Amino acid sequence: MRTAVPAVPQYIIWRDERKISNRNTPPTTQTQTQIAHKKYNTRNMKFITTNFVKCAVKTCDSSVDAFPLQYSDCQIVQEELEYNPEFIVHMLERLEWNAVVKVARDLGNESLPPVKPEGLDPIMEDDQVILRDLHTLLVETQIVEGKMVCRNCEHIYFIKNSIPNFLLPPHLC
Amino acid sequence: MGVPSLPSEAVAPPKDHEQQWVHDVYNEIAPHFSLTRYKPWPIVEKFLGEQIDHSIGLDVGCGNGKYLGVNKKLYMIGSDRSLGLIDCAQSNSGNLFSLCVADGLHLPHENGRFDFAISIAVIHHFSTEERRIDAIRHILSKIRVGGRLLVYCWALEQEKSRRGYKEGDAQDVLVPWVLQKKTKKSLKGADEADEKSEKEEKKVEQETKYRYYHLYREGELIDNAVKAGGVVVEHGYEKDNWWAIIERV
Ligand SMILES: C[S@@+](CC[C@H](N)C(=O)[O-])C[C@H]1O[C@@H](n2cnc3c(N)ncnc32)[C@H](O)[C@@H]1O
Ligand SMILES: [Zn+2]
Repeated sequence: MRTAVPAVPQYIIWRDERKISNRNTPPTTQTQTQIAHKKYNTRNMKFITTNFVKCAVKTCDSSVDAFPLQYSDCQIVQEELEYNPEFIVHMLERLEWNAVVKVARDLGNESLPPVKPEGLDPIMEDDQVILRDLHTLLVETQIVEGKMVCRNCEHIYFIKNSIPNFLLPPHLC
Repeated sequence: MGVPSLPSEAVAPPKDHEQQWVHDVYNEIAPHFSLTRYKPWPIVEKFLGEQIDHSIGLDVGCGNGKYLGVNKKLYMIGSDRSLGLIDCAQSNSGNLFSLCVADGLHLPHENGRFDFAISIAVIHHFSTEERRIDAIRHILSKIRVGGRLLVYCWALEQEKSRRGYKEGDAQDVLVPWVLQKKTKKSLKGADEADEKSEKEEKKVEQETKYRYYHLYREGELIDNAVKAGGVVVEHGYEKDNWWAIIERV
């Protein structure tokens, strides 16, 4: 879907100028309606989700390699969603930044800062730019299809139709 | 009134029993079931409303996701064993929360990472006491020390309900779900519908699916919670269910 790694901006995996608009924007043609409803209106595997899921295998519980999972063969979309700077500021406090950096790298962005941006204030103009970018990265960037691999046990989990599936085969549970 | 429940005698290993009498059934009835689930129960709503703004939490066995958007100041991850119901949740979501398919005994989350959790009408689908206690212990392990988990389980004591279970009845039961597939069939187009398929349609219409439940008697949920290593800070009875708020210590 996407090949080259953009140099700028820092936080964004890639900027899709044709961002998919959400359901509040009335679609203009019949075909677009179909796309909006069938394909693009209901994505839930946001980038942010990757920061809260790990390998489900019991024996991987104590391994540092079970989180984050390694993302490969991913198809990504960007969907325009309501920007809520408060949410980003508070979520940032709870994110494992190393995992954010790792997953972004899996998806093709090597340019995230190694240290978590701290103390961002939605009132400050410079911070606003960063918060916007973080919103695009964490919330608007969504994985539609792909694989998640545990770096410890190498089990592969699949994302289909933007739903990550962590059910284990019988021999692993 | 209606189709009676049957006693459930688990002959298969617990996992197979649950696959057949819980997971397969939810996947089959998902769209229909989802339509019946939209009204939040008051205690659940209150619990979610009480969480500190911007807390992060889990909804284990979230079904069609009806609790995920109740408090917009929270970030929640909903998981369920049924792909069919997670699909429904995804369509309902308007994209506000995160979802995944996962088993309540094998959650794909780091231990101690979350502030709170809910598991509403889910634990009663595990078919042995050991697995029910394990499930509570497992969910507790995902929240931080001091974090709280709200659990709801169907009560044995529900004499006033239309099912009329009461003290002394069997606790492991198969509860009927009458599927109405009629509309789906008739959508297929009238020209296809010869007499034979009309008969088929009637058959499908009457199809009854059974789900396995363990009906909790008074005090049992608290007992399970303590065995799971939690501390019960509040508990009660609401709408044919026993509920408990369990703190991780
Ligand atoms: C009665 S529904 C409740 C759904 C939702 N919590 C609600 O209150 O509307 C029970 C749910 O538990 C889920 N479930 C059953 N066994 C499960 C398991 N082992 N792990 C995760 N979810 C499970 C079912 O798929 C179903 O969605
Ligand atoms: Zn693993």
